[in-house]
Amino acid sequence: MPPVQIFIFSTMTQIRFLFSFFSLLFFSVSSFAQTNALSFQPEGDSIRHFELKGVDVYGKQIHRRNNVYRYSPLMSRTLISLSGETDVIRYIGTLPGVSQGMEGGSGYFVRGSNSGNNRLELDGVPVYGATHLFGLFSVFPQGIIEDVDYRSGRFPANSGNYLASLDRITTDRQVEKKFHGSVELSPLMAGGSLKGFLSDRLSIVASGRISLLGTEYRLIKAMAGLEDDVKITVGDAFLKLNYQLNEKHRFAASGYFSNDYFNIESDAMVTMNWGNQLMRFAWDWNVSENTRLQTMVYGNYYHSGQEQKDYNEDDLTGELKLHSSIGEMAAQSRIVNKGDRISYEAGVKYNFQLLKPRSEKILVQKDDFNTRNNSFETIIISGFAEASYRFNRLELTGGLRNYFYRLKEDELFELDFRGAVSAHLSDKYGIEFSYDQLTQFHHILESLPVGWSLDVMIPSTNGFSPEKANQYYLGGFGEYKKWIFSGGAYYKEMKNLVRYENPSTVLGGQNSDWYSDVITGKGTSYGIEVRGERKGEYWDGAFSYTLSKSDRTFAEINDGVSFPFRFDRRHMFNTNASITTKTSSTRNQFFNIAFSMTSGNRVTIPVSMYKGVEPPYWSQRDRGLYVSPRKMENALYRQKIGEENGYLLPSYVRLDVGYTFQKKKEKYTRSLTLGIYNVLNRKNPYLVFHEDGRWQQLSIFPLFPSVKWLVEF
Amino acid sequence: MENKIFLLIWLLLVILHPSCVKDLPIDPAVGGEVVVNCILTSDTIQTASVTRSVPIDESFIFREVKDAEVELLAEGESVGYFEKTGYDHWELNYRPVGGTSYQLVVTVPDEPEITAATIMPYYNDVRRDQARDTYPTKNFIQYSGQSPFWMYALSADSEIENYQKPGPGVTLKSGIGTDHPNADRFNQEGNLLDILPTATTPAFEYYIRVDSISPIDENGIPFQLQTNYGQYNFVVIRTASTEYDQYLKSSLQKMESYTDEEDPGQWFDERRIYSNVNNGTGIFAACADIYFFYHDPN
Repeated sequence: MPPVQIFIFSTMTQIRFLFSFFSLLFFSVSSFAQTNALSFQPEGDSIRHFELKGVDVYGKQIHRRNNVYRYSPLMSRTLISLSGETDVIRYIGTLPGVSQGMEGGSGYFVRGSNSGNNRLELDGVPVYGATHLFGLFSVFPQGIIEDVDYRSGRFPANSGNYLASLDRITTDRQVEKKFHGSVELSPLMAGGSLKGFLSDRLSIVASGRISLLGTEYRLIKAMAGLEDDVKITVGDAFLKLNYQLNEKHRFAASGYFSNDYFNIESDAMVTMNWGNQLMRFAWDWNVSENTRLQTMVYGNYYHSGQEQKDYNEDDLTGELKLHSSIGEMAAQSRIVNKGDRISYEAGVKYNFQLLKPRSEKILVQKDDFNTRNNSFETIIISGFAEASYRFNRLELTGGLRNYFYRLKEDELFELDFRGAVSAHLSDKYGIEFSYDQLTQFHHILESLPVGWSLDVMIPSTNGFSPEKANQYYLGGFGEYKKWIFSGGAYYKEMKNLVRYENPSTVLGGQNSDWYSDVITGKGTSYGIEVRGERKGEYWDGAFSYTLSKSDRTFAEINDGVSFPFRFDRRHMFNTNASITTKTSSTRNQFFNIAFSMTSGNRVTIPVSMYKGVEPPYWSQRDRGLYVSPRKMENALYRQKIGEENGYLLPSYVRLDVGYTFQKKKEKYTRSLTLGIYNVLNRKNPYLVFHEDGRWQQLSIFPLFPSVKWLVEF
Repeated sequence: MENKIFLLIWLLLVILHPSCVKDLPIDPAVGGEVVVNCILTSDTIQTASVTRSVPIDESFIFREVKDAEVELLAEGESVGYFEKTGYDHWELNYRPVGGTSYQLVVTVPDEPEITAATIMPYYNDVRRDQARDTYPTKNFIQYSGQSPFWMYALSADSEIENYQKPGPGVTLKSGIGTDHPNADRFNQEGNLLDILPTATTPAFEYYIRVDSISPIDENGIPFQLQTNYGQYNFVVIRTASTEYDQYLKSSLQKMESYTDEEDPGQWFDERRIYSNVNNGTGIFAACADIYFFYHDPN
C-alpha cells in the first residue's frame, strides 16, 4: 500500500475510531442512563431559596470589550457536548467570528485563519495538542479552571507567536481554606479535582481524569464477540502548588500531563499517540501597591505520532511512522504598573524550541531509504512594552512587540504594533477601534481541517517565512436592561500561510522531503460580528451572528486566482440559553438549549472526465502488480477538478438540548446532566464523495445522547 | 417513567444511528470542454487528439470534435496543420528540433481559440557503462541534465523484430530501482530486494523520475538501473519538457490515490492533473527518447 494511502488509511481509521467510539458511547450512555435513572428520584414542586455555589451573581455589571470574551467553566456547562464533558474550548465555537471545523470536534477557525493560528495557553504555557479523543473535547479539565480569556483581536503586547486568537486558560488562583473538589463521571471519562490549603501558606490545586473507553470496549468485545483488538488510554493530570511567602511574594509550581493512545489490531496494526507535558514555575512580586513583577519559567513538550505495521500472515512486512514534536523552554519576566490614568507593562521573553517533523517508511530488515528526520532548533527572544492612558471616557492603548528569531544561521527581526482606542459615548454605550500586527514563527501543516492533535509543525525557514497578519476592527458596545451587546466590522490580511499543495498529501507521502508538498500563499478575511448576552435570575442566554468572507491565494492553485477558504461560512448564527426550571433549597433543575445555524463549508470536487495521455507503454506493463480498476481509469482518463473550494455544502443546522438535575446535600452537591446532541438528527455533511455513479455525503454525528454525573464538595 | 423515556431514546438511536451516508443532490453539470492532447516526440510523425470532456457521471465515451483546425507553429512560424485520421486522432509529418519553442493553435467553431506552448528538450547526455553490468544491474553515466528525465525498462523473453525501438512485443517492468542521487522518490515503494534478492536499490513503480541538474562535472554522474531483466531489454531515457514532466508526475500521483479499489482515501482526493492548454484542457508537451538495447542470452 503506498504511503499516502497508508496515512489516509490511518486517517480513515481515525474516523472509524470515531464511529467506534460513538457506538461504544451509544451503548454506554444507554446503559448508564438507565442505571442512574433508577437512583434518581426528584422530589415535589416545593420552591425554596437555594444557594448555588459558583453561580454568577445576578445583576452584577458585565463589562464586555469587543474582541475580548472572558467566561467561566460554568458558562461552558450550558453547552451540550457529544462526550458529556464540560469543555471550555467548545464555548469558543459559539462566539462571533469563529467557524467550526469538523462537526463535534474542537477545531475552530477564527476570522478566516487556520486552526493552527490559534494560541492556547494554560497559565501562560502554550498547549499545542489541546484535544482528547480526536478532538471530541479539550484536554482542560473544568474542575481546576477559574476562567478563560478569549481574544480574537485587541491582543496584548505581552503575547505573541500566533495569528488568529489568544485563548488564555487560568487555573484557580485563590482557593478557600477548606478543601473543595469534585468527582465526575461520563461514559467517556472519570475524574475529579481537589483544591485547598495544605498549610497556612501552601495551597494545592489538583485534578485527574482517565478514560473508561478501554474497559468499556473490552466489555463490549466480550459481549458481542468482536475480533479487533483495541487498546485505548486517554487521560490527563494537573497539579499546582501555591506558596505565599508573605504579602509581597508568591510562588507557584505546576505540572500538567495529557496523553491519548490508541492501538487497533486487525489486518494491520495502527497506533496513534499524542500528548502534552508541561512544567511551570512562577514568582509574583508585589513591588508596591500598583506595581507587580511577574516572572515565569516553563518547559513544554508536545508530541503526536502514528504508526502502521503491515503483516503478511505473522511476518512484519512494512512499517510507516509519522511523528511531530516540539520541545520548548522559556523564561519570561514582566513588570506591570496600574495607575488611575496611566498603566504600563514591559517585559522580555526567551524561548528555545526544538521541532521535529519526522516521517519514516521502513521495510523491515531492509535499508531505510525513505526517512525524513529533520530537527530544527530555534530561538525566539521577544521584548514587549504596552501603555494605556485613560482620560474621562477615552482610553488609548498602544503596544510593541519585537522579536529576534534564529534558526541555525538564519536570523530574523520582526516588530509587531498593536493599538486600540475606545470611547464611552455614555455610561452604557461606546465605540472602539483596534489594530493588531501579528507574527507566527511556526507553521502547522493541517492534514484534515478538524482540529485533531495530529498535524505536523514546522518552523519558519528560508523557504517558509513567518506567517504575518494585519487586523483592523471598528465596533461598538453597549448594554440594555439585562443585555449587553457588542458588534463591529473587521478586516484581516494574512501572508506566508502554508498548506499542502494537494490536501490528500501528508508528510511521509509521495515526495521525498516534506517541503516538496508544501506551498505558501496569503489570505484575507472581512466581516461583521454581533454578540448579545443576557444575565438574569431565571435564565441566561447569548447569541452571536457573523457575516464574513474569507479567501486564500496561492500561486500554484487555481492559476493564482483567489479562492474561498474551506471554512468560509458566509453566515454563522449561534445561540444558547440556560433556564432555571425548578429551584429550592435542596434542588435545582435547569434546561439548556443551544442552536447553531451556519452556511456550509466548502469542498473541491471533480466535475468532469476527459481523455488523457497514458503513461509510456502502460498498456504493455507486466502483470506482476495488481492495478485496481479505478487506478486503471486514472491511467487512461483524467479527472477535471472543479474550482478550489468551489462547492458549497448544505447549511449546517443543529439543535442541542440538555437537562440538569441538581441536588444539594449538607456536604456536597450532586448533578446529573442528560443531553441530546443534534436532537433534530440532521445529517450535516462532513465530506462528499462520488461513488456508484452518484454523489453521497458522509455525516459524522447524528442525534446523540450524553450523560454526566458530577459531585461537588 | 424515566426508564421508559430512556428505552425510547435507545430505540430511536438504534433506528437512526447507522444512517451516516446519504445521497447528495450535487449537479456540477460540467462537461463539453475541448480537450487537446499532443506530446511532441523525436519521431517523424506527430499525433494529437481533440475531444470534449464528459460530466463525471457519464461513461468514458468522449465526444468527437469533427471540425477543428490543429496547427503547429515553431518559433511563431507555421509548421503545418494536423490531419484528422480517426475519431479523435490527428497526425502531422514533422520531426521537432531540440531547443525550439512550439505553439499549438486549435480552432473549433463556436469556441475561443485554444492555445498551448512547449519547448522541445535537448537530449540529456546519458551513456551506458556496459563493462560493469552484472545481473540485475545496468550501469550508466549522466553527463548533462538540463532537463528532467524519466527512465523505465522494457523486456521480452522471445526475439523481437526491432532492436532500434521497442515494439508491441515488449513488457514494461513494474519494479525497477536506481541509485541515481537525483531520483525523485514520489513513487518509491520500499526496496527492490523484495523481488530481486541481489538488488541493492530502492524500488519504484514502473517509472523513475530524475530531476534536472546542471552543471555536471566532466566525470558525470554514474548510476545503476536494476530490474529483473529478460533476454531482450530496452532501457529508455526520456528527456522531458517541463510540461511533460509535470503532466506525467501529477498523473502518476493521481493514480496512486486509487491503488486500492476500496481505499477511502479517494474521498479526499482533490489532486489536479497538470494542464497547459488555454481555453480548454489537456496537455501540449514534448519529450526526446534514447533507447538502450541489451541482449542478455543468459
